[in-house]
Amino acid sequence: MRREEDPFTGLVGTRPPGNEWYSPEDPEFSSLATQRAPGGMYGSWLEGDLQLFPIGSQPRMSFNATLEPWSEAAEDAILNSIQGRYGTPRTLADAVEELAGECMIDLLLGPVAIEVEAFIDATGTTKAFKLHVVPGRVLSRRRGRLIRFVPSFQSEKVHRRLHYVEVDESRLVRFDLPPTERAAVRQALRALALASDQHFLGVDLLTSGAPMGAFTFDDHQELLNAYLRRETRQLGWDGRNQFVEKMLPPYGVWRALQFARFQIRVRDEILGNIDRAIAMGLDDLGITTILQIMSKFDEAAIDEAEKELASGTRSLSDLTRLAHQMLPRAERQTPEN
Amino acid sequence: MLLSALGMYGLGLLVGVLVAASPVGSISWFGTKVTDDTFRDLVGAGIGAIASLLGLFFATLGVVAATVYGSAPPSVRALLFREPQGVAYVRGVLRAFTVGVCILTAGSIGADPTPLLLLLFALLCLNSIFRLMVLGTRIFNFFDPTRLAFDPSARFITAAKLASGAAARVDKGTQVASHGRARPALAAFDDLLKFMQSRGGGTVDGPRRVADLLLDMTQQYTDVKSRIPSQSEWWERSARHENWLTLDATRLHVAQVSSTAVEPKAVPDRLWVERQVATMLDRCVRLAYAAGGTRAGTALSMQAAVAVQKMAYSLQMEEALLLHESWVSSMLHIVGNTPPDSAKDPFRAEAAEQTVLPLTYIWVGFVEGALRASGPPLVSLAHRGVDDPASIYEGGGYVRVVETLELFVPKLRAEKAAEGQVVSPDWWLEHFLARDLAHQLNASNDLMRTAAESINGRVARWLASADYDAAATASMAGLELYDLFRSNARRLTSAFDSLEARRNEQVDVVWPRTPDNLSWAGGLRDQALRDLRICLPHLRTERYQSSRRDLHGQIYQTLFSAAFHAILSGSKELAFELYTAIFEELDGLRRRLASDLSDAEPMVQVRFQVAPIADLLELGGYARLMQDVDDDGIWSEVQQRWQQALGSGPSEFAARMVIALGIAENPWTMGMGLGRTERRMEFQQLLKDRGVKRPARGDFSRADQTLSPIVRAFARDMSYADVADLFVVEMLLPYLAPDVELPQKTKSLMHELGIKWQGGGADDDET
Repeated sequence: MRREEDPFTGLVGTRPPGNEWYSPEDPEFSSLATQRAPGGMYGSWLEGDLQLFPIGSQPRMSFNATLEPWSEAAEDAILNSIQGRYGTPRTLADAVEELAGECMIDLLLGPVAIEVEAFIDATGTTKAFKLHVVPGRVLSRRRGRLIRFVPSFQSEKVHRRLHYVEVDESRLVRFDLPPTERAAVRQALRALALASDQHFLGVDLLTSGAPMGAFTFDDHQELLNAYLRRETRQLGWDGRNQFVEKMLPPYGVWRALQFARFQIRVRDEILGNIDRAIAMGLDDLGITTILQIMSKFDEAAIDEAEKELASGTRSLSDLTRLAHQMLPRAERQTPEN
Repeated sequence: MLLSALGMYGLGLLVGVLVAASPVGSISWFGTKVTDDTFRDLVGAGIGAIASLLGLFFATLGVVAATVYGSAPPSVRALLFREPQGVAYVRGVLRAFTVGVCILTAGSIGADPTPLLLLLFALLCLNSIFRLMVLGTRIFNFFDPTRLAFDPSARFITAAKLASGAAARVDKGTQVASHGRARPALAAFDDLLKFMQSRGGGTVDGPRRVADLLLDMTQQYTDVKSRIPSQSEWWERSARHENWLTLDATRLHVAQVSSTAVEPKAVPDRLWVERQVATMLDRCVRLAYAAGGTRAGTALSMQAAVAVQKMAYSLQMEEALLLHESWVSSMLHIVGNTPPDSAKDPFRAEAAEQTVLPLTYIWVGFVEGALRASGPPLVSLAHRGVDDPASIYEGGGYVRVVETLELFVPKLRAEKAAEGQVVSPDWWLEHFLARDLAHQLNASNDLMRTAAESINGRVARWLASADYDAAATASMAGLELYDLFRSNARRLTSAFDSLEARRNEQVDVVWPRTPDNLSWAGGLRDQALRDLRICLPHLRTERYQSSRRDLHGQIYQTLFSAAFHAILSGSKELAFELYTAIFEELDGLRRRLASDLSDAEPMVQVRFQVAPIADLLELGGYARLMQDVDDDGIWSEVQQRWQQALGSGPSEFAARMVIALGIAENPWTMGMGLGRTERRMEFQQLLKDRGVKRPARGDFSRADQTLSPIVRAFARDMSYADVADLFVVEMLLPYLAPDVELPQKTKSLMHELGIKWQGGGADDDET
């Protein structure tokens, strides 16, 4: 950290008051969180291992973030614009990664927006900006104007029994998954929710004293696995290896490659829009420097890996490693760099 | 079949006659009712006769069961009632009886029968009479237990076919049922043999008939066995104990804290049928031997060999070698129980030979099977299996491949179900299928090697007990087998190469090594030759007898050829051992030839008498030649051996050798034999293989001047001298008196080598 002072001291944010962080106790919670359904074990796997959710771990993004040309003012502005979990990020890559992780949490469940909040001084000059991730589910329209739902104590205005604040649409960068990926995620979440309900069937049978008949835990698990393999095939997710552990090794590699392909598509969607949001913020400050986010792996690498798998010119362990390396952490850059 | 045809013909004729003779002359007459009560008398009489026949039959059967089979186990007595002719007869009689009772019952309640029904009854009665006739001609079958073996054999095959059928591949109930039928069938077979054994005094034909059935049954089983799933309930279960050193941590912990053992796993026993068949076959051979001696005991050798060859061709090597072991045990029983002094019995020797010979059949079958299996790509089986899982058993049924396919195919089907396509690439599937087949071939080859190595142990035991006849016969058969190993080594290697060509270097797994059969089979061959060397003097005979195998002559020729090849290949120790054996046999051979040819023309006598001498000199000549070629060899040992025989100074023995050579080289006595020419060609080829620059014909100056003069002299395609002449020049010359006339070729060679000798036979050109 080069500065110890709060860069926002004496500045006023242009964003209407209130945020979208609902507590489960809030009466509006249930109507706004309907999509967070895949609970139980599968839900936790989805969150913990789908690797698109940075809960408990860092997101895994394969990119470099650099400024072109490099500008200390631009770097400071970007670092300050993002509120990391552990304070202000140290590097541009950390900053982008933090924001991307936050976007991913909501992007899998629906559209997302990044709101660029300008901070002005007494003269009305923009001196700083902040980026807020807004889940698409809290955005709506009222009489043609975009509104954002907030907990009841933060606003008096009510629309459809939910409290809201108005949003300046021009300050939002809105995006969603590509249609194919959106459909795949929807299908997978449905299946995971269903499988979660079925997961403890054997235990329930056992504890209820009901006759087990021909039921076996292994067969039941394999049935669930077969169902989940089919329903998650567009994602390629292997359910923490559980869907593929009894399959042939090349299939596990193939799934890993499919999952890496899906991750690359999601990653590119997020990074592109973060770039747009940061560009908007820098433009407010009158800084012409551009943040360049460069991906290290693209779908061509996956195509090549698939060809190598089909031809046997590369070992399965190499291909697995490659699939897992497709989305490593962002490369750290020291401030000196 | 004939009776059935006759029956049908009779039935047609009868119907025709009745239609023609019917009151209205039409078929509708058969539908009218017979109101005349006389039919009751007819039917009543028929039923009475049938009942009597049935009663008589069972009474007879009861008597047979009580007398002949009084001490037989229940399963054998049950076979008595399953005898095919008896069953057919009882069925026929019961049909007629049933129809007759129905007619009488119907008539008594006012439902008069039609003429067609009466006609049917009459025909069934006739059928019973026909069957009685057949039964009468074979009634003594009931007294011969071996005639009852057909039923269990047929029942077993039916059960095995059920186990290999489409239903049993998916249905455990069918698998259990098939096993449930096969097991008692085999037990009945075994009980029958035990009963025969306990009765004793049987004929030769009986055990042979049962053995025939057993071998036939085994061959049929070989065909269907490959189509039975590897985890089928058809297989009996055997315990597989865990390796405590590689036990997983949880089970090891549980076992240790509870101070209990780890339960062994029940795994399919694929040999449960063959094991029983092997035991029964051994019983049959022993029974046949007891009844008819060595000839009867060895009579089934060809059928047994064919059966094991078929197994080996299907790569069922464990099964083939299991039967072979049993066969060896039977043959050893025959050899051991036939006095050695009955060596004149050719079938005793055959029994000894039979301890080895089936292995050659197994080997031939295995090599062919390996080539067949390694040919086509195996991945096509996996693809077919995705569409039809049962089809994986149609690709030859090689155990390891089937087991792998059983593992792969459900997963490939799961891939297709999940992704809409099979994802695992062909190269990966082919790699593992080929590897597992290579493992199977390798394991089979190792089993074969172990079986072959056991031959020498048996021969050693026979040698220790001075049973040279059996030892020599088995060793000769062993030589054939070892040569077959060596001659087929390249073909087997090509099968391994074909499989290894499908190996993908990216997959890090242990690939089975290609067996080095040339090496170990060579060692076994050398040992067999040494064993034969020991046997040779003990098998010397006074005279050749066409009624028995000429083991002495055969071994001599074998050892001579082996000695020549050992000299050429530089196997010094073996070469000298064999050379010494040939040398020491010379006198015995001469005496036997004198006896064998005593009635022949003088020219024939001379020709055959001098041939072994010329051969011995030739072998010595090659020892000298190879000493120069290799700069190493057995020449000094050969010299020492001859010096012992020749003594010092002029030797009569040496003179006789030279005179014999002169006769052998004389065109009147046919000169050099074909064998010597072949040996000369082999020597020429050896020089060629070693890159020795050989002089062109007639242009001696172009020969490699680094070669010794001796090698140069014999390196040419054509030579004026024989190799035997070289031995005379190099070894015998100092032991010859000056008046000995040297053969012309010897003189030519001396001239070529620039050797001068002042004896009477010196080269005319030089003198």
